[in-house]
Order: sequence, then C-alpha cells, then structure tokens
Amino acid sequence: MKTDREVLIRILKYVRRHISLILSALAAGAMCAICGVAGSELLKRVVDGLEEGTLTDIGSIVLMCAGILAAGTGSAWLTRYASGNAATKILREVKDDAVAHITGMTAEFLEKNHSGELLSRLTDDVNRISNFVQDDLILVIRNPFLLVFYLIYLLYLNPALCLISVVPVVLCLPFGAALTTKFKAGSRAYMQYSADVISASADMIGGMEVVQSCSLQETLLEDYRKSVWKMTDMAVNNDKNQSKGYAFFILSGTLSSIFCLTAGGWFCLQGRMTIGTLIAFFSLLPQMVEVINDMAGRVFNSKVAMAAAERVFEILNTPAEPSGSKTCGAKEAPAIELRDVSFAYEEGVPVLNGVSFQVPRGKTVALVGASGGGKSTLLRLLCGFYRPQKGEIFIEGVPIEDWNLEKMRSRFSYVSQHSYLFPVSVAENIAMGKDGADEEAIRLAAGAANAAGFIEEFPEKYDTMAGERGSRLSGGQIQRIAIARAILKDAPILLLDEATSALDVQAETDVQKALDRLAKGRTTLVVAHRLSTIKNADIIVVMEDGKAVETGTHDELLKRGSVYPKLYAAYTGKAWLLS
Amino acid sequence: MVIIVMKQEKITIAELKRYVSLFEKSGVYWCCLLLLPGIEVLASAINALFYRKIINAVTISNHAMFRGAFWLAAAALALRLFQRLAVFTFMYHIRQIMARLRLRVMGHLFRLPMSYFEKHHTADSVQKLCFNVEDIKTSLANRHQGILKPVIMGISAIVLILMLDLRIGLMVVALSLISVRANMVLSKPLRSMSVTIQNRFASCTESLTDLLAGIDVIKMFPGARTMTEKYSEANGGMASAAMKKFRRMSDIQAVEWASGFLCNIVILLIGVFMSFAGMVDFGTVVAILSLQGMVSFFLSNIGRAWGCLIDSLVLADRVYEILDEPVWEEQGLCGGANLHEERRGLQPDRERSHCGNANLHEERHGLHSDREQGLCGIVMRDVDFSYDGSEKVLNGVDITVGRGKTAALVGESGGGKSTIVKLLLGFYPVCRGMIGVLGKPASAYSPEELRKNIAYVPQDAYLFATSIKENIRYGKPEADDEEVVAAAKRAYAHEFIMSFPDGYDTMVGERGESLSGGQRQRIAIARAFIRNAPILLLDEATSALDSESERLVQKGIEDLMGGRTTLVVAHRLSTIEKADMIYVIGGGKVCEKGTHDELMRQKGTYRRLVELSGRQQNN
Repeated sequence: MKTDREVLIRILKYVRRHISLILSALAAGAMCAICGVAGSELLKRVVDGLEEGTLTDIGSIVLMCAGILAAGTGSAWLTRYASGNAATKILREVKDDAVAHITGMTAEFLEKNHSGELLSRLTDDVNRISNFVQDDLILVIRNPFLLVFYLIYLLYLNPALCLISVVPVVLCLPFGAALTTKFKAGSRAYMQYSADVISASADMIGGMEVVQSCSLQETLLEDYRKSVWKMTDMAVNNDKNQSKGYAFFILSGTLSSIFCLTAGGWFCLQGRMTIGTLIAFFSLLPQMVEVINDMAGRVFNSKVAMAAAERVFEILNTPAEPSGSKTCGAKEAPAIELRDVSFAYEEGVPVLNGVSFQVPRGKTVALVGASGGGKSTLLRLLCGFYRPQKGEIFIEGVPIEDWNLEKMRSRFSYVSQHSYLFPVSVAENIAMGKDGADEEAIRLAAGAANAAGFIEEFPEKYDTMAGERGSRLSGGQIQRIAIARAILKDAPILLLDEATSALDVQAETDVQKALDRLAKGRTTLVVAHRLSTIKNADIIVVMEDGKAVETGTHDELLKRGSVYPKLYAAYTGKAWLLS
Repeated sequence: MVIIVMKQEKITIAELKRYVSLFEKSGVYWCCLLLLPGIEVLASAINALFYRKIINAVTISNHAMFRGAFWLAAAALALRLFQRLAVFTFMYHIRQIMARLRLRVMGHLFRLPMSYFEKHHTADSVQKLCFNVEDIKTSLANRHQGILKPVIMGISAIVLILMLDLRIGLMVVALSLISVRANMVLSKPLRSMSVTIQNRFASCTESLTDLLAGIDVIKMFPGARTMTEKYSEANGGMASAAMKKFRRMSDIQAVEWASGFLCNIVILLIGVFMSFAGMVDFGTVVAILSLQGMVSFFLSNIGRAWGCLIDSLVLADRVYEILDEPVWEEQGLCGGANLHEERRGLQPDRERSHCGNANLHEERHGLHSDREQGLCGIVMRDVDFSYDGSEKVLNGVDITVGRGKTAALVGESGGGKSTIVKLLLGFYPVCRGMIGVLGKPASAYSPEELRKNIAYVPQDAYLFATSIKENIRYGKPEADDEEVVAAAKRAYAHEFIMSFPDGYDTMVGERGESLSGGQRQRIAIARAFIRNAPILLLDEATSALDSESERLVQKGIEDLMGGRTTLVVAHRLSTIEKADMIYVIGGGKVCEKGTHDELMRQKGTYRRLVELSGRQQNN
C-alpha cells in the first residue's frame, strides 16, 4: 500500500459500519462552528448598536448569549463523544481483523517476518494510531468546519478584509503541506530503522554468551554506535523538515492576523467599516489562527498515524492461505499420496526434489533419512502450511489445493518435535483439540496420553498454568499434554515428528506409550528417529537428497536396500547418548 | 508505556544531580529549556500590545498610533520565527543526548559480567535499553518543559494582565481559575482510566505474543481459536475502557468550549459596555484576552509539574538499574562478597601467593610444579563455587588437562559440568581454590586475554540474525573472507553454504532458524576454527542429529580438537571413548576419573551411566 488514498479507502470500509456515529460527530462539529460564528455576530451587533445608540434590549442579548452557550457546549460534547466512540470501535475492529488475518496467513509470510515485527505493528503502531484518535482526531474533524464557517462569515462581514487575511494562508500553507509529505516518509523510515535497531540489540543481548566468549564487545558496540548515529541523523533530518513545515504554518497564521488587523483598522479609519465588524472579525481571528496553527501540528501527527496505519493495514493486505472447496475425501483412496513433489523454501535450494510415495489407510509409514533431508518439511506440506512448487499431493484422493483448508486440517493430528503449549491452563490446552470438549473428555484424553498421573499431582491439577512456552513443565510433560490434545482431536491421520532431543529414561518411556496409544487404529506418517518406531512400521520410506529412494519393510530393506542398511548401522552403532 | 507514579515523596538535591548527570554534554539543552518559555512570553506580550495599539488607534482615529503598531507586528513575527529555530536547536540537542545515552547504556551492558545476563531475562534488558531510554526522550522533550513552562509563562502572563487593567484582569484570572478547577475535577479519574487502558493494552500484547508463538497449533486445532477469542476479548476490554475515557473527555471538552465562549464573547461584551462607559480603553480588553490562554495553560498544567518530575526520575532510575550494575572490573569473588580480596588479588605479590597456593596443591598431588606449569593446559585445584553464596554448586573440584590432551566431563545433568565450563570462561569468579590456564593463574589474565586463548562451542550455538559470513567472522572480527571460507571448509560447512544461492551472504534469520540444527552447529564449529585458540571448551549437543549431519559435525569437532587442549562436556560415547581422561562429575565433585576402560572395570557410576543409556537406545 503506497498512497494515503488507499489507506483512506480501507478506513472508509470501517467507517461505513459506524456511519451514524460519524455523521453525528460531523453534525455536532458543524453546530459548534455555527455557535462560534453566532457569538461573533452578536458581539458585532452590540458594538454597532452601542456606537449608534440604538441598543435597547439588553435582556434579549443575555438570552441569546445563554442560548448560544448551551448549544455550543452541547455540540462540543457530542463531537468528542461520537468521534471518540467511532474511532475506538473502528480501531478495535481493525485489530480483531488483523489478528484473525494473521492466523490465516501463509507460513512463508510469518517466517519471513521477525515475530517482533508483527508484534510491533500490532502494538506500537496501533498505539500510535490510538494516541492520534484520542488527542487529534476530534480536531481534525472539527477544524475544517470551523475554518469553512469562519471564512463564510468573514466573507459576509467584509470580503476585502477576508481576502487580505487569507492571502498569507494560501501562500504559505502549500509549502508547509509539501514538507509534511517528506516528514511522513521520514517518520516511516525512522520507525522501520529503529525497529531494526531494536531487533539487532535484542539479538546481541540474547547472544551475550557468544559476545563475551568471543570478546566481541568492541566490534558490536562499534556497529551499534554506527546505527545509533544513523538513527539520530534520520531523526534530526525529520525534525528539520518538521521545523521548516511549522515555520510556514506559523508564518501563515501570524501574518494573516497582522494583515487582518492592520487592513481592518485602516478600513475603519477610512470609515469604510464599522468598529463592530472589526471586533467581530477580531474575536474570530485568533480562533482561526489557532485552528490554522493547530492544523500544522495535527497534520504532522496525522501523518505519523497514517504511516502507522499503513503498517497495520499491510498486515491485512498480505495474502491469506489459499483454500479450496472440497470438504470430504474419497473413501477408497489412500490416506496420503505424493506424486513427484518438489519444494524449496528459497529458490535454487530444493528441499524436496520429486518425492513420490503413498500412505495406505490404517498403515504406519516411517520416514527415515539424514537430517535436513526435508522430512519435517514434508509433514508441514501435508498440513498445508506451504504449497509444493511442483507435483501433486492427494489427501484421501483429493488434491490438496481443492481441499477446504480447515476441513483438510481436521483430518490430521500433527505432533511436532517441539510442541507448543499456550500459557493458559493445562485443561484449556488439551481442550483445544476439540470444540466444546467437556471436562470428562479432557480427563479421558489426558489419561490416554499418560498425562493424567502427573497432572493430578499438581496442586492445581488441571488448572495448572502451562507458563510461557510451557516453561513450568518438563519436556516430557509438555509432549504428553500435546499428545492428549491430539488424542482429543481424534483425527483419522496422525502426522508425527519424533523428537530427537533426549529425555530421561522414564519420560521417554511415558511419552512412547502415549504415542503408541495415539497411533493405534490411525493412519500414521512418522518422521522416525527411534529404532523401535522404524522396526515396527508397516512401510519404511528412506529419503535422500529430497527424494524417496527406497521403500519397504525393515526386513526387505535390510536385504535389498542400499541406503537403509548404512543408516541402520549408524543408528545401532554410533549415535547413542549418555544423558 | 506505563509510568509508575509515586505519591509525593521527598526529592533530594543529590537525586537531581544524579538525574542531570544521566545526560552528558547537555549544557545547550538546559539553556534552550530555560530560554524557550521566555521567548514564548515575549512574543505573546508584544502581540498583545500590537492588538491594543491597533484597536485603540481605530477607536480614537489616530493615524500616527496606527502606523506605530507596525513595528510591534514585525517584532512579534520575527520572534515567532526565532522561537521555531530555538525549538529545532532544542530538539537537535535532545537527539544528540539520546544517542549518547543509548551508547552509554549499551556500552555498559557489554561490560557487564555474564552472570547479569543469566539472572536477567533478555526482554528485561531490551526493555530498558530500547523502550525506557526511548521514553526518556519524552522527558527531555515534554516532561521537563511541563515542569518549567507553566510556571514561567503563567506568572508572567498574570503579571502582564493585571498591569494592563486590574478589573478586567481579575475577571479573566477568576474565570480561568473556575474553568481550570472544573477541568481538574473532571480529569481526576482520567489517570486511573489511563492506567486501566494501559493494563488492558498490556494484556492484549501478551495474548498476541502467545498467539504468534503458537500459530501452527491454532491452524491445526480448531479449539485453539479460543486464543483468538481471548485476544478479541482483551481487545474489547480495552475498547470499553477507552470509551469510558472518551465519555469523560467529552465532558471536559464541553467545559472547555463553554469557558472559551465566556472569555471570548462574554468578557469582550462586558469590556465593550465598560469602554462605552469610559471605564477602560477597548484595546486593553482585547490585549488582555489575547493573553488569557497563557493563564489557563499555567493553571491547568502547574498541577502536573510535580508528576512530570517524578515520572522523569522514575524513568531515569530504570535506566540506572543497568548503569549501576557493577561492570567486570568491579565484580568481586562470589557475587561481590570478597570484593576487596579480589582487588588485592590483582596486586603482584598477591598473585605470587596464588601461584604458591597452586604449587602447594601440586606438591600434595605429587606432581612436580615446574613440569605442570609448562605442560598443563587447564588446571582446576580444589575449586569451590556457588551462584548465590550459600548453596555450593562445585565443592573441591580438581581437574588437570595436559597441553594438547582431551578430557571429558560426564555425569547427570545439574551435576555442575556446565558450571565448570563457565568458570573456565571467566564468566564467574571462583569462591575458593584456583584455576590455571596455559601455565598461569586465570586471575592473572584480563577477561579478554583469557578468552582469547579459548574457543567455546556451546550446546546450542547462538547465531545472530545476520549473514553466515558475519556469524563465522564473529570468532575473529578482523578475519578476512578467505579465512572465513577456510574455517568453514575445515568445519565441513563450506559445501552446504555454497549450495545456497547467496553463499556466505545468506542471512540465517532470527537465531539462525532458517538453518537446520546440524548446519547451525557446523557454523559454530567454523567460528571456533577461525578463533584458532589453544584451548577448546566444548559442550556437546544432547540432540541426536541424523547420521549424515551427525557424521560431519562429529568430523568437524574431531578436527577441531586436534592439537588443542580440550575439555568437553560429553554425551556421545564415541567422544568419551577417545578422551585421554574422563571425569565423572556428580554433586559438584569429581566422583571418578580415569580412561574409559579403567572406569568400566571399576563398576561405578560411569559404568551404570553407560549401561543405562545403552538400554535406552535399544528400546
């Protein structure tokens, strides 16, 4: 999204939903301006009346004053209330939409963007917008009205004087406005750059062990120094543009008030204008100047908010995951079939290079091969996180791109190497497996996953908080809770990425038992690291260089395979662990 | 960013001095700070006089007076423009001060001992370095002005107004007082409302962070959408809090409008009647009204001045939490308990006695001291260590690794193996006993000198979010590209690096996540190669990589060990079998030592460990 117009169009979509609030804000803003003008008109009549000696009815003047005061106060209240409410509601919807959109974003996008980047957009940038909404928006709505009504009234009072007062504004404002564009681009660049610097410093602090053990302090501090000064230069440059812009705004405001009073005074001295008119003019003029001066600040602030809004809307503009329309598969087809599938995260670095194999229903298929061979990637392809660049994947006989993504994912239980638990209660984490799961179901799933025992031992049992990244639980416990979640989901196909990290012996056995129970009666595709898993599989697919090179049972492959026997030797021989 | 507001408390001069000293070379800034409100007052006063002159000239039809007003106008305009220039200068100095402050904090962070980073979460330091420091900009740009500006401007405006005309002046001041009072009563709950909003905002951020971390789970489990709902709930909570605040702000807005109207129209009307009654000249009324804004500003902001000051101080304290942390040079033994002893320890005669100590132990162990001084790569003698000063993590550890030899540390996790490595790296000072490196006591080296002799390959190598080349080069910042390639080749990393289209310039992503585990390890090994240090400390990864990657990592490590004094925290039997000496560490002590065969014959802890993991593998 490049232009303000596109951002505005986006905003207008939200505006439409709260049109009544926004219209009342606008109407009240107009009313406010009319009251201001009415007060000045009253003033003019009083001065002229006194001058000519025709003023008699003071009571009606007091009444009129009170009337204008009441109407103006009421409309000032409504302007702020309605605009604030509308803006808050819109902001809330934008955030909800953005977050809903994020969960539907492609994995590619999420991986390319530092997680801090998305977070900064949805927190800092949204905060910038809401600051603008709180403090500036009302004036951005009200001020144009004030300007228009004041101008009309001033024209009516004395067109010549009005033109003279407006000349400096017309001359200076364009220069000021031109600088705002520069300022906005600068602000955006500055925000981006400082976000980068923050990421970089977080990186340095996170890697302090390396920094210290390699004595990198001097080098990195020098880098940091460079970026801080670059940041400072950018900021100073921005300030410069802002100051220049402000100067034009001030010039226009101050000059117009000087012009107005001098010319108006001159007209009065010449007898071409009444003093009442000059006073009325004058009572509006400071307000008008204030409005103009104020607009300068608001315009700059609104540019910051616009830049922030662009960054937020960019989230909404990223393409969502593509999804088809098929909601169920064919009964007889194999659960999973890959035909000549190729995939690369980055062009020219193929991870999968023409993989073909089938996973028949009800069977267990083990994927084995060297790490970095694309086995985990393959599971993620099946989940629809990525799309293959070449070849076809069929899930229950239906090509993956024809599937409705949500329905397709409901066919899979996916247990990854590093299971993620949300920092909510254990029960809630398990309940995520199934919409509306009751306590009984959660308990059963936990029992089946060998997790009930240790959960019951916690003082808060199922209400124990899992902590950030599940940190209060041990690795084996996290895995078992994740397995309980998968058991509750009860999907027909299990995709399992066996953990390579070593757990202690007891935990290992517990997790293994839970996994065996989960796999029972399901079609299973497992990225296998454990000899027992491999030996017990119905079919073993050996992967090498992004291809499925050998397929068969353990015994078959040992007899006629060429890659597998070597792998097997490696597994049984060298790679065992002391822990 | 929430700022904790402390209730009225005493602020000492010392505190203010310390606060001001946070900003280096800030003289021009403070001058600008004092000057700015002065310029503003002057410009407004001249402006008011200009109004008075013109209006009076018109009412009494005096042409000469009318022309005289011109100079006042010119002066007002010039001052306004000059004010802008002053503001820019002010901002410019703020930016410079901020840059220096950032560098000072970062520089200090880099000089902190490793123990600081193990005690404090990364996010905490980042928060202080980036966000609190950024917020100090608000102090410099706004809060300080919030303290001075209302006072200077308000008092001079009131004096001017009363000088112009006492009766109307009093009326204006009274009206301002009433409206500001109403305003204050209405805004009282605003602060707590803002705190509510901030808290809800924080819970939004929190649930968003969780959501982003678990996005795969949300995609795969329909029930996980409760997390999106949670966010939406938090978001809704924030919105309703914001609306409450808007309701209140609308009231304030209404009061402001009403008082503006009263001032501009009603007082002007009264002034008109008074001037026709000959009680005052009309120009004065107009001039007074033009200054009224400054009085209101004073009255409504003076109450916040104290808060501004407190906020600034609190914020500075957060930054001082980093700056006050003792840097390496000031760190003592065992968390500062023996600070003086350590300082004295740096003196030559004390050092000699350290060596003497070592000799004493050597004699007890029946080793000839000269021989050991020359031949030993790493010596630990009777080392005690504790992180917190009470619970001993190491308790009389003795380890000797001859030059060019390999020693393996094995044992249950939590037994103190990693602590030994950290002590050797000088991340912590020992509590008792001594450590010798390359024939000299470790305390005789500065941390940089000590680490220069050591290449450390941690279990989970941290890669920075930059290119592969830079990541390797971090082992030796002055290395050229050829050295980087040579190191990568020796670590068996060259081939996979070249398979990337960008080769050595490939960006590795956040924490190197775009590389596989084996690739990350090989880059860490290349980093150790380029370092080319005589001592290698290796914390073997526990995760079993698949065979190909495993083989290359293993080969890389073996090559790396060649000719170097190596101490390895070992998990792999192949590594352990090849070690010249195995130390079984448990409960902070060396329980057994010997070669693989010797220890297997002993039928002790070591043998039990080996058998246990053998069984696990066969399952």
